[in-house]
Amino acid sequence: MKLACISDVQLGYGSPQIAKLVESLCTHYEADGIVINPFDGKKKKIENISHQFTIKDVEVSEPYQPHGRTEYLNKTAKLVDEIKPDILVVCTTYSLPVLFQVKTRPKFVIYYYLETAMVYGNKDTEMNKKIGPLVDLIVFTEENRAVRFGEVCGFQKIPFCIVYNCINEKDEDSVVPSDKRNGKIIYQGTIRNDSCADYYFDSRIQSIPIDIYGNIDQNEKEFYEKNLALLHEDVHYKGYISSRDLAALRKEYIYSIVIWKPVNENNLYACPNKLFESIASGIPPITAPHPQCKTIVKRYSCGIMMNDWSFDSFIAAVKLGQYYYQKERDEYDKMVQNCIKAAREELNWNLQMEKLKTHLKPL
Amino acid sequence: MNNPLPKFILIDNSISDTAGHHYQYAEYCLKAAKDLGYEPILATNKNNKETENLPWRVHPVYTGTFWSHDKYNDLLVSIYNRFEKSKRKIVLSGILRVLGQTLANKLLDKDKIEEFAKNSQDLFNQISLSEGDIVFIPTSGLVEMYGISECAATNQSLQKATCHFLFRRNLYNGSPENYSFMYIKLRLLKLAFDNFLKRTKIHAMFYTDSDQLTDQYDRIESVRFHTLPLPHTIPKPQARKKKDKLQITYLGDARTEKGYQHLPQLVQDLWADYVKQDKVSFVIQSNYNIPDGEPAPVVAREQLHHFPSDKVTLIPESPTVEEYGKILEESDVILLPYDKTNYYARSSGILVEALCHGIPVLVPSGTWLSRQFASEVYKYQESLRDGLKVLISYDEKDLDIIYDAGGPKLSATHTKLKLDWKVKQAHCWIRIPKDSSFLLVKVHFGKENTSSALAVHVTQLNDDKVQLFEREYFIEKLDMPYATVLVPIVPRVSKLWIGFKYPYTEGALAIEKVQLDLLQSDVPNYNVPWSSVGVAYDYPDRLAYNIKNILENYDHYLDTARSFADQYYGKHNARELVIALIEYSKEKRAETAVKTKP
Repeated sequence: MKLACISDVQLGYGSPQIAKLVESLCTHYEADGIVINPFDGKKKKIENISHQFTIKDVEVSEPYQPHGRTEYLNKTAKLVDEIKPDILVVCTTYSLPVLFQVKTRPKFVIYYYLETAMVYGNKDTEMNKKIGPLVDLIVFTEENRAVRFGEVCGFQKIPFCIVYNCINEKDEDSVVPSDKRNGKIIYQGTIRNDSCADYYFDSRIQSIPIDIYGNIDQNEKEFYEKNLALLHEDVHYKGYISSRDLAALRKEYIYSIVIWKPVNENNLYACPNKLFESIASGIPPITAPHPQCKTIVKRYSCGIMMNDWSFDSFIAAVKLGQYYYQKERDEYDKMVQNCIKAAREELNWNLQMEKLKTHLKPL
Repeated sequence: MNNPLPKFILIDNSISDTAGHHYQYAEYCLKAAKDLGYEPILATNKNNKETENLPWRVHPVYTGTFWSHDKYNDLLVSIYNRFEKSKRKIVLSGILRVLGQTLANKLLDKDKIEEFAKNSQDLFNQISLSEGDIVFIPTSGLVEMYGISECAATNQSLQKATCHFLFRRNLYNGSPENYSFMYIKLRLLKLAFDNFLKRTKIHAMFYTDSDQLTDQYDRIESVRFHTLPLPHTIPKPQARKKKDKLQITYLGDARTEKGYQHLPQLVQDLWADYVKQDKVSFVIQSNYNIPDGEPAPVVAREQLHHFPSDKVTLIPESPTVEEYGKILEESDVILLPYDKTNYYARSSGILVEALCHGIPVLVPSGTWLSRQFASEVYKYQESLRDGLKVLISYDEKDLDIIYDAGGPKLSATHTKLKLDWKVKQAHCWIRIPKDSSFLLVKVHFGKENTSSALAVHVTQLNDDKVQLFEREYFIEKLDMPYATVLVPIVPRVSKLWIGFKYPYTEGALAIEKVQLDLLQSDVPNYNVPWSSVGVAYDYPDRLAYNIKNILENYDHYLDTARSFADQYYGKHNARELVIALIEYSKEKRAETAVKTKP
């Protein structure tokens, strides 16, 4: 059995669940897997991502420009025609055009809906309305994104399921006890305006120990490089490190920040890896009221919710978090335990995959 | 020779068989009419084949259905949507004066009216009517009204009966404070109704089934509307068996406005502590109202499918009347997580059935649903002053109330907390004793209120001024002198910020008196029932938080629901509906007699 996955990102940098999904499907179907991803040479290849599939890099100079995307998709479609996979996974609207280009339809096609189609614009949204005959299963990562897809594109009688962006929970022993943590708060992710990165420059937050990790968005480079260099109190920019290194460091922190400005549906209905990664590591998230984040934090009392997306709300939540850690340690420890409980009872990849498996037919 | 019985003719063109709520509604009314000495007759859709072996004559004569012609002209709707909040209202007002009649006629679907009139002619050719006969159309719109009227133009016997039109659809969504934005539609409807009155030869009466809907329709200022009770109820069963596992039930279509999309979150929220431990199970009716379903319920149903079916039972098809009755019998809590805007004024038959059955319910606040038992809730919450220990009380003379527009403080010399057009918020701070379990807020609304609701915002802080909890609560003024809200206090709180806010865009509010009591309970506050008969929640993401109070105090909710059931059933039953129609008929006849007296 052969499985191919068309990724919209270079593996090892963002969207770790693409690798997880491919691994799980390869295990389920006992298939040989291959992940095709764009490679622009700007980021180092991450080795040994998985022993269950190989990676095929498709060299493209600017994969996220229109000409680069077209080049990637053309090359990818040819590859898919050569491989002739039984199962094809297509990640995001970015990769969807391949389905219209390949000569033979694989037996089972999964559309991994990791981003809202509408952020790609009208033409791509129209394309999403025509996938009925080409797709056997849509995997959404967030309920409201699924609803919006239904409202705008129609479900087209395609079966679907909702699978959260979870990872498998760590052993409880790997969770760092609260008295051994570094007392700091971590932010991990791209540094840009819509991730509220400008909040870290406000004078009112400078005395709060926050470490920022991530790449600076190229379009906002000048502003952020200048201002990050000026940080000199307890808020620090630590640069970019790989997901693997970040995972090792993260467990030392007391909280993890999860926030995007709700400038579009993708941001509003965020279903962030880092929320689930933090919870799995026993690190309570401090999160903006994105619907999925809000549901999870309230359900398990495993973090701190901001009232809204304003800076005032942000700093109030951060201070509340510090208060619990410094003055009400029992309450903080309860949150950590609740994170572990959440990961064990619901928020782990294995349990989430069970929902998808009910849609997998023998091939 | 015995005088023939007066006739009670119920017309519902949506009835195509004896399954479903439309037939059930008709059945209750017809049985009650028979008991009150009428000959019951049912007129249905032509597709109805079930005409024999029923306790009444059935005439399947109608070709359309209500839903198929309940559409106003799209052009008109788009015009009024555009001008809804426009400053060009004055210009439009002028246009309406000139073109109003023409536009009003466009509201009417002439073909459908003609069809309804023709079908009605077929009906009344088979039934001869006399004075004292009642024609009741429980699902009415302009088509039905004009259709019957046109039929009567050529059928003289129809002019002898009284014709009763029940309107059940909203004219507006939301609360009265927003109605002024929607005046164009009203003007056109007034023209349509005035036109009807000028031309009709029938004795017509008009109804809705909720006081708030009656208020909406009365704003047309043409005909007078009355409120009818809901008829499809039965008295509660004698006793309920005590069960180890409670059944939480959702009945009704899987529809966005009925809140179906909130159910997966609720089930998951209760999973670890209740469902998995077999303390509760869910039964969820899950048929769609449209062929492929609305997107949000479709997504929700997919999520619900992944729960074990012995714990979460989905009913994929609309249950028969018998199946529905059985599910209701076996239910311990009924969920009605309805959209607040749509159900501000609209009634819910399922709620009425649940309340008459004595089943505790979970409903949204600020809706017709919550209003059905809100006075019981206020009385119960006030009684907690006797049941729990009162640690300290404040009234408005003790409070330093500050208007949030930065205006003056309201000191001890002022006794009225007035929120007006410019200032819609006021707040105060109070210190609270340690070990306070609840804050009980009791508000007396002033007589000059233009509206009837208040949002009370409570922020709970500890000694370090850290905000530990905050919530907003919604209360409504009813036919009682006061309203209450009960706020559970979280541990370690020493200070409260209490905000009083007028919740709507237009209008003003005056609070005559405020009383704040801090109460102490011997048991944790979730082990004290917060409400009575059922719980009204403020936001859908608090369904689990509120339903847990019902589950943890089930005996109390069951007792109070059963106690309330008799009183509620006394108001809402078919006999009361038919009696109301009879009384209004007499009124109408008397009115007509006066007008036609030489």
